[in-house]
Amino acid sequence: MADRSLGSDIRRLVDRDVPAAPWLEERVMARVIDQAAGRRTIGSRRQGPGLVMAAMAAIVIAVLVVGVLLGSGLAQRSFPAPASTASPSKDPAVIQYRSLIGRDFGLISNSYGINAYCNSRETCIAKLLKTRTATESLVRDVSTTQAPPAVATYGAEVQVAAERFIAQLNLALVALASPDADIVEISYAISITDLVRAVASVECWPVVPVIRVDLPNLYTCTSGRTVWDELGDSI
Amino acid sequence: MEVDVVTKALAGDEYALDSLLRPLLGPAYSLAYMMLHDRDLAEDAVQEAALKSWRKLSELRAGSDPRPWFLGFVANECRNMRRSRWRSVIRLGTRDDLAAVPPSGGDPDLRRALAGLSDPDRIVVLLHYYLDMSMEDIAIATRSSPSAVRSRLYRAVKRLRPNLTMEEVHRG
Repeated sequence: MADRSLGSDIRRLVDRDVPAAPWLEERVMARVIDQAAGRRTIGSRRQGPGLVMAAMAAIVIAVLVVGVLLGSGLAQRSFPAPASTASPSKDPAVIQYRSLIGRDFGLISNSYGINAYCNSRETCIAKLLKTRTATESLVRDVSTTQAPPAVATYGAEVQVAAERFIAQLNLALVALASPDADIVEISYAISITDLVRAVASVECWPVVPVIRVDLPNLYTCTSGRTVWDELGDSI
Repeated sequence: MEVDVVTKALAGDEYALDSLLRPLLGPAYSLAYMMLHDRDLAEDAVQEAALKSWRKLSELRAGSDPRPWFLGFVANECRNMRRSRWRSVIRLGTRDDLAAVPPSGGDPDLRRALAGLSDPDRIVVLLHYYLDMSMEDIAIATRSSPSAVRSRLYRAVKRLRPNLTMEEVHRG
């Protein structure tokens, strides 16, 4: 009787203590299937910001974006090329512009995601300061570089998204100045998603990045659907 | 059936991959949470385990049950996370801190005793009593032998319920 009681007590305890994670299955399966399919993706842990979540995304973003955009190095060797029917532009001017944005965004991702987690107020502040400096470089480069006409609109979106991201970082830094700052709560006010989305538009052009509804930091350039198709829909 | 599913999953059949892994994620998450006492870390552990298990899917022996094989990855991820310095120091605290997790009802003594077990002991207890796994399957999951699992389980359960006999432990 005692042994059966232990089993049922443990089951009851676990069922009571473990918080629900209704999104877990979808998120994990999406990641596994993406990996299995060898698709080029930019991924995050789940919808929702948070340094913990966004930082993990940023690491993946850094590797993928830098690898893909710079066209060389470890990142490119580590991930399969997209099996797409429509591929990003081969126009040298666009490639050069993508490289510029990719390099700057790689630094943002590295500084935002380094160590994956920030575990104290001090390390969070250091991480965010470094991220802000990197983002300011992106804004500076985008605003002083003549974008190829084809991607000029998207380049402008990158700048706007980067400036908004800096504004979020500034607010977080102000909040973190308090010794009683709630790191987790503050992290929820920061989201790199819009910046990822804007960078993705430049990276994928003329292919339209497909942003996943369930995981908005995850996209692919492999839909085969181009900007021209999108325009056709709206005309 | 599993062989067929594994073969199909390896061949890129998303449905097969989904049907193979998805049923394992819930138990894996419960196990990870009880090991890590942190929802984010538990989710990370399950995700990493899922990705690693997919990469090593070809190592799953034909006809074998994927559950102990997969939970082995989960247990390993939990161990790695517990070993990580900042997590053990800052996020998870010491084992005493785990035991001090505020009780939310149920059996606070059991919760405290379970949290006070070593990681390997707690995994074995959870696999056996929560997930109803046999000694043989637990041995697969923990890369151990059935006899070692049996000894570990007995030792752990004696700490949870000192009055249980060896026979009662293994019957449970």
